[in-house]
Amino acid sequence: MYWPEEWSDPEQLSLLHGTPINCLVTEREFPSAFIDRALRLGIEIVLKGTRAEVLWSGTSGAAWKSPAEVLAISDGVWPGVPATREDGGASAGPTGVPWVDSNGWRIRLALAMRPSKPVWIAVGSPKKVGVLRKEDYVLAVADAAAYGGRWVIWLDRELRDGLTQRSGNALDVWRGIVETLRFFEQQSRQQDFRPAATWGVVSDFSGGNEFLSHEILNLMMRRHLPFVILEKSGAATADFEGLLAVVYPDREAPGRALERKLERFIRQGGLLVVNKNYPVPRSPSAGTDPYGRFRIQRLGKGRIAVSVQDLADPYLTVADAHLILSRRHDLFRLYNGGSVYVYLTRGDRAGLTLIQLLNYAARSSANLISLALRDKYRTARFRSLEDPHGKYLELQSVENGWFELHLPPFAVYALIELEG
Amino acid sequence: MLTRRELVGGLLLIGTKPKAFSLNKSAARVAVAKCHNYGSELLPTMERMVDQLGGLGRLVKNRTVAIKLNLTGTATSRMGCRPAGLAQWPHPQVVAATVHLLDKASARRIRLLESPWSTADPLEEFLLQAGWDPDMFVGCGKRVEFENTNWLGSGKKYSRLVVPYGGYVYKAYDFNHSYEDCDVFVSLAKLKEHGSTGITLSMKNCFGNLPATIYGEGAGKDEPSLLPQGGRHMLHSGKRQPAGHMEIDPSSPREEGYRVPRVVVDVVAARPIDLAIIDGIESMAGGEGPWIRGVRPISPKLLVAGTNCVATDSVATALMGFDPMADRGTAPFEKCDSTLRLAEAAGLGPRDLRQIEVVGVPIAEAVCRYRSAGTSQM
Repeated sequence: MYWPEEWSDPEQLSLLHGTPINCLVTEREFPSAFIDRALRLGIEIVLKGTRAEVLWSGTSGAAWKSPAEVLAISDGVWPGVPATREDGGASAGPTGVPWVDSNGWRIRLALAMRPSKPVWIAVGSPKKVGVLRKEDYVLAVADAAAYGGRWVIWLDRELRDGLTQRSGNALDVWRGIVETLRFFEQQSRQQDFRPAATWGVVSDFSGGNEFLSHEILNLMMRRHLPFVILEKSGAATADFEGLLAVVYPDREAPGRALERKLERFIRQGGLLVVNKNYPVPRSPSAGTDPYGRFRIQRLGKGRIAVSVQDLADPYLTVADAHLILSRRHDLFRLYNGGSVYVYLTRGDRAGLTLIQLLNYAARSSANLISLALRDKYRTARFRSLEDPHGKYLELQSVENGWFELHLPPFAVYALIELEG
Repeated sequence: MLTRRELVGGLLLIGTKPKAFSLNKSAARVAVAKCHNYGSELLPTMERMVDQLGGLGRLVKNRTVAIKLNLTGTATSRMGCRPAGLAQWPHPQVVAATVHLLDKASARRIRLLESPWSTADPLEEFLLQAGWDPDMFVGCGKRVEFENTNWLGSGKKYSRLVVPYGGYVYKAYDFNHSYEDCDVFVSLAKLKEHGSTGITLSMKNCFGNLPATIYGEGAGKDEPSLLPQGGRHMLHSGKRQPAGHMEIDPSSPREEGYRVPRVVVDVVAARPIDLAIIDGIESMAGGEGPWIRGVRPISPKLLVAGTNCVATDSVATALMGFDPMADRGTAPFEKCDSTLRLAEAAGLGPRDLRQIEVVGVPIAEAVCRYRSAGTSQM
């Protein structure tokens, strides 16, 4: 948590009593009495920029190989639906679905590049103008935690003043933050889960490839494509189990070992989506994508789709790739989803799947959400921040062999535990 | 003398003589049937209805048949938890049964058409996103195809079809080639009310024939845009003109209750409906889609079909508990002009039930009053 500069009285540390918060980030030295009290309470203090164990960096240009224990991402966003129109409304994409700000892809990228090392989202104050609601804070916690990171809690002036005065409203917001933290603390087994993926994104995620590869991750989340991030240098030996398609957007050709691996993947039935100058083996043409932006060739049982021009628009790259593979291979579909993102992970323990849903509008919708699943499960338990204990939902068989869950309303976050 | 707008907009149609189809003005017969569900009862019921209309063979044998679906809104919008086929869209089993019956009547080729909201993606992908399986329809006929008609699609140019009576709003309209490249045109709609036009049935379904690349929010000013974006608001509001067209009377009201019914009738006259089928087994009342506040599920358990769209829609309107002779100010046309009246005035068919032969279940035995039935889900 960013500890407010004006809270130098050790008594104010009582706010943290009984909470999962055990680390304070400060930008100045605090009095020794304060530090002593914090240490006695088991709370660590990190003076920003002084501890080698914490690397403060954006995902852009990040020193992924840094030996620092913690990566604190400083170019993240306050999650939510950004109000970018003059009337305060949200701007939308080509199909009218509002744009969403999420740190999910940043956290996932950081964990892929630095496995098992903690990732913080250290955004500080939001760009959003106006009062931050409790749900905005809850979403900030959930947006980081759902993907395996931690949000460095930042409190705006109004909340700080309210907590100082112990106002009812401020304490309610604080309780919301703490209860959300506790909810995720109790889900510690999430660390044993891996992304369920039918898509792989292979890239060096840096240099001239950085913008495109990062935005592809962002937009894959938006499009609800279940993907795994494969850093290029290790991709030749990575596990491609379950993948139906791989996107390799880098301008440079892969190394020989990776090139052979990708060719094997295609020949065994996979789809590879690549940039214009990729060294494509000679093979029969299989036409183009519906918009003529990719040339498709058949190779063994699979296909390779080569961009006709240099890939420059990540939105179109992801949309086109999805179309070329086809929605026929979707793992799930969301109805009345609005600004909800879905993150599917599978546990090391066989038969357990977690589906996390984050509602970036941060308010319950009047439209009931349905989640359709391709695979069959025995049970589905639904939990939310409103109902942490949760309840079992009926898996309804629908046409085409799919199953549906009709979800109870939730404002920010819900978790579905699927067994079988 | 052509304006620059008309000249530039017409470049895509160089060498094309605007096409006018002949209208079906034969005696109006409409089949009404009760059908309790989309299961085993559906196909025999629809077979009986087409027999009552004189069979499909004479209409479709060895011909290319286009079916305009009624897939309004996005693929993932639902009224509560109800799949779209039980609310705002015709049910996929009705679509499949229609394809099967046309194939059985020896249609040479069957093409499913729709202009899905704000996308040029293949229609099959839109169906998949909604949870439908396109293979289900492919399996119902020897040659079944799909086309997204919201843009140029697989055509090389748009087809300009002329409104035979001169038009209420425009003299002609530009369509995806599929509406011209068919011998028989079927409108397969849902039995619903509509926020702008009071009702949406086989005729209003054809508002969606028009590509958003020309008539949509993101359409080019002087020429069609490459891709569709948004809805056809310029036809609702009249705030700007579509590329290549000038309105007949630019001083006419800029109000959607005036404009949309007239555009609907123009479109239907330009590309007539040879067979109208309306799915009213499970539907929604209070509006045309889940985005309308106060919509609610309704179960009329009805199917309606006819070879004259005005007559078919008029019978369907009566089955919803409304008077097809009503006009602006009276339900269902409280805020708009009556599409039925305008269509009748244009010579497209009768709306007076006394001039319509209803076969099957009498209207009085089948009425489901939309304004008083159902409970709100929103």
